[in-house]
Amino acid sequence: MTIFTNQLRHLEKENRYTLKQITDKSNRQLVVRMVKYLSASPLPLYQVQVIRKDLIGMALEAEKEHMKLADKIGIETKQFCDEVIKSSGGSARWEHAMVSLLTVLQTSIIIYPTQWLLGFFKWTSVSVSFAYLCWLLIWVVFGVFLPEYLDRKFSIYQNKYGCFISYSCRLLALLGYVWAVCSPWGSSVFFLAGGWGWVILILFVILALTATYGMNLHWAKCAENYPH
Amino acid sequence: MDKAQLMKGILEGCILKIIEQSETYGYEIVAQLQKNGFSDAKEGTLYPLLLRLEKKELITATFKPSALGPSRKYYSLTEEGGRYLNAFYKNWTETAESVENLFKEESL
Repeated sequence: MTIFTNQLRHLEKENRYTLKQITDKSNRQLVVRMVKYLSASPLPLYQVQVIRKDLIGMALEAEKEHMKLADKIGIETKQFCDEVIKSSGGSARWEHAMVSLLTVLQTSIIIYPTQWLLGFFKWTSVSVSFAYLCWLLIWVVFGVFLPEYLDRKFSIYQNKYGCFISYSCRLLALLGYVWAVCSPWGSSVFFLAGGWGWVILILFVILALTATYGMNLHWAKCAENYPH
Repeated sequence: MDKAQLMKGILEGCILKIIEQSETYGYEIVAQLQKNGFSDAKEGTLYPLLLRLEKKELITATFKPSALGPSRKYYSLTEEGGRYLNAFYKNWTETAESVENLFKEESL
């Protein structure tokens, strides 16, 4: 059934498998860098994977012709990627946001009951606390999504600055999160569920399932629109 | 003189013409372009143009298995692409004639 199949993951898996067939390390690394850069653009995620498939095909053909992929492309890598982004057109930032939201929901299903089961942060009942909101805002946004975005954006330059900036962001976010949790208001509770913690957990599960199946339908539609 | 700007508009029409002749793939299109005097044509310039043409629904792409390796993306012209190609050639002929007339006048 379509809602149980994630066509995007299916194509990603196929691409990961074909990427390994590129024997030349520099060609393989170039493909990875270009795809990372394209992933930071507003291009639809499914289209990025279709382009990835094309780039892998180009790299494999370059190897058969005993050429480097960079020579086969023939123009500067960033210029090539920018032309691809311009030619593909359209902005799918909403799609990127939905995938990020889905990741947060799915992670909440793990984090939330874990906090309850382990008696984390010394809560005696399930709640939405200041620490949980800090995790959501500081760690998820500044420790995960922002560094990932920066790492992808700088990946095209083949230098270490992107990595350095992204790891610095993660470190600052971690320090910020630890400070927030250890601060005097770290255990402040905004919403105490009392015995209704299971309701909140079930709500998270329903939201996550709805979002997952909704996105699966979206990827199935993308698979029809893009030949692969 | 920046040739790139001039080439941008022309290459799309030329690519459509090559695809009109037969269903073909990227490497073959580059080879055809180079054979016909477009020595600067590379896959890096071609690929974004093919994406644009696909987006405009002037060409369609299908993956076909290749005996030599991974499946290849083959492009074919759509009906809309055929109409676009005819309009391109008409515009090109008129423009080329006007430029030619202008330069002929000047040389006289």
